[in-house]
Amino acid sequence: MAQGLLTGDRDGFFSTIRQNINTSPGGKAKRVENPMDGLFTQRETTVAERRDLRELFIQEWTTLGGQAFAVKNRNELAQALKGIIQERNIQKAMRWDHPELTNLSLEEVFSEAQASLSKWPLDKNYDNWIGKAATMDAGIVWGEIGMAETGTIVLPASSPGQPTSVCVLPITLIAIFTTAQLVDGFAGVIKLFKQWYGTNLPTTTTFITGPSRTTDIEMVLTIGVHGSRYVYALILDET
Amino acid sequence: MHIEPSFRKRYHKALSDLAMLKAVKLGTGRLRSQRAKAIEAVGTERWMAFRDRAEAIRLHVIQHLDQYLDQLVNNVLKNGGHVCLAKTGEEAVKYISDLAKKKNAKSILKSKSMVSEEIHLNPALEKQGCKVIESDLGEWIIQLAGETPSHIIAPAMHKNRFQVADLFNAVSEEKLTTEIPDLCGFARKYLREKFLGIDIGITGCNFALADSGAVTVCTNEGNARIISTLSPTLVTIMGMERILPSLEELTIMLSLLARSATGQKLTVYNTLFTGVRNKDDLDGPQEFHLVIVDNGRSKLLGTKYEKVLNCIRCGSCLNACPVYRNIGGHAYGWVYPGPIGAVLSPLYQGMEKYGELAYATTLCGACTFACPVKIPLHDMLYALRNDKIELEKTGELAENIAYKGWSATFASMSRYRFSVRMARRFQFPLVKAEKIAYGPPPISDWLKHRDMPALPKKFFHEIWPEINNDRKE
Repeated sequence: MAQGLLTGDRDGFFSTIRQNINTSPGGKAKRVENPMDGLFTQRETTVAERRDLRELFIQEWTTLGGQAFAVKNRNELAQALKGIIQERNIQKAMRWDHPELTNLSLEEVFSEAQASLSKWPLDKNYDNWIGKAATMDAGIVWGEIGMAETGTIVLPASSPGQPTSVCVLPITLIAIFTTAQLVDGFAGVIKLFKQWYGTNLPTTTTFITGPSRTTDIEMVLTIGVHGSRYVYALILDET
Repeated sequence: MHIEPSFRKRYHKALSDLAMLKAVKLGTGRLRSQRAKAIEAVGTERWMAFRDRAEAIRLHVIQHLDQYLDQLVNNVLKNGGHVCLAKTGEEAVKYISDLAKKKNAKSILKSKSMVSEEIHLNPALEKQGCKVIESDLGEWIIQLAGETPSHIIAPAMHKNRFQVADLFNAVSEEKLTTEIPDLCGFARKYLREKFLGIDIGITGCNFALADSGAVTVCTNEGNARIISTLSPTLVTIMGMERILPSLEELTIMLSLLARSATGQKLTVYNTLFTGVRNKDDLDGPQEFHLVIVDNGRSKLLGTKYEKVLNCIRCGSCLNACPVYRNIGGHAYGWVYPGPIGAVLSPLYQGMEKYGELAYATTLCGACTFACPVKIPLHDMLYALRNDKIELEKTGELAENIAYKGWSATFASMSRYRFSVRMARRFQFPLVKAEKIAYGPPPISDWLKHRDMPALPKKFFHEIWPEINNDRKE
């Protein structure tokens, strides 16, 4: 990637800062080593513990105004998905190009429910992908990580097939993942991010904690201002 | 005490706006109770541990700001983004205005950015023919009203649904009801069309991460996330102090920010982006510009006010402040209201213009206690009062004489007793129904809003011998 350009007087900008910092009384504060220690749950979890985390995730996600389903296998997932298609009257949806979603053959489920499902991207030469995503009734993504304590889905845009548009534009968001993706909270996310990315973070990572909301008018909670109004989490048993 | 006429006018106006006062009391009350519930759920001891850790992180960052900013700049450039180092607000405005001209931008959408308010970006862009639209619902409401934010996280807190419906009806083709879901539905539909025709997107920055060059924006509505995804050219404006070393420190700040601001465990959308899209990506910005703004911040480094740079803009000090709750945000005059505004405004904009805000406090310390990064706001307000007095020393001869006289009188028992007896004897022209009802300026101002009891027929020191005798018997 080409290096960006710098505008402004770098030396002048930093010299004022350095000059003033040096006058700081009482010495400089040291960096906090392991800043998360003692504040977040840090542990390795077993399959059974992750099933408990699923219950916690569902509780949090539901409290926030979303709907979540524990599903044992692909058949139960298909049933749950058909229920959502019917409930939200979904005619057309778009999904991430993610191997886990491909393995679930979601197109078949949509076809059986008389709805269509497209995959991003069908054709890279098509020039209005954003416009297309905006017309979709639902977007389907693979939840790379689920944070149980806060009811949060973590979506790193780690390849061109997993864009933010699919989860940001349609009014309904459906996130599918397994219990293997569940962690307690931030400590689990950071551990995975260090393994996966180091400091080379994906171009976009989104932490989604429930449906879009506002209290900007008279402090009355209203759901679905700009982002998704209806959010679903379908959590499969890990194999 | 000397209060500038402009502040006096502002707070008098606020005190007479009953609809606004009612809305602000309702809003701050709700935010305070939500925050209290969130802290209860975490547990007080753990909450204090979070605050201690956050304070330590922010102190370290501010005292090593040069190193972290340098690292951030290098990483953003490496990631393909452009960086503007703006010493002043004018430099930042010029950079963004020139960019808009270069891109021939007609439609500019913004998510919430207090720095952009601080540097008056919108008027400059509008002057050169750009249509600038605020996409945060609260910000859009006040943009339509031609006002400034009255609260850091709830900018339209002072408006009720009827006022909002009037504002929306002015831009709507259909007549809207005053039902809040209908109003929000209209905003979604109207602004969605704008999002899809965006030329340049502008976001604020909650935190930038030095080690990766990533920027974090937090919104409950999802507007910043849409802007960062759909804008061909994306501009992020950050106050230069809004930086953290890495993701690890970010997790603590995000946990504190949401709970302190609204009582949520996490804000709905926390989006991290590193700038331009990858080669094969079909969405995300093709160009990214990070504008790092000093605008008076560097002069606070190494001073007794340095810790104010720890602020993470959660707004909890506003909700805790008895003065803010009674006058709302506009009375503070500049962009930042409440206790944090009363500290920042004179420091950034000058004591001459905003020094009087140091008196917009009861010094009760509620703001300091509410602050998630432990900024000693009430101590700073007290220090600002001292600075103001020092600055105006030559003009306060009468005040100095009065204080010296008061000091001499109260230092001696006999002089004190003589003075209060004289005051009791000669207070009668001012007394009505056992209260002092009238008085010369500046007491007359004070008496307009408060009761001062008249001096009693007998002082405590006069009845004490009788009480003491009764006790002995």
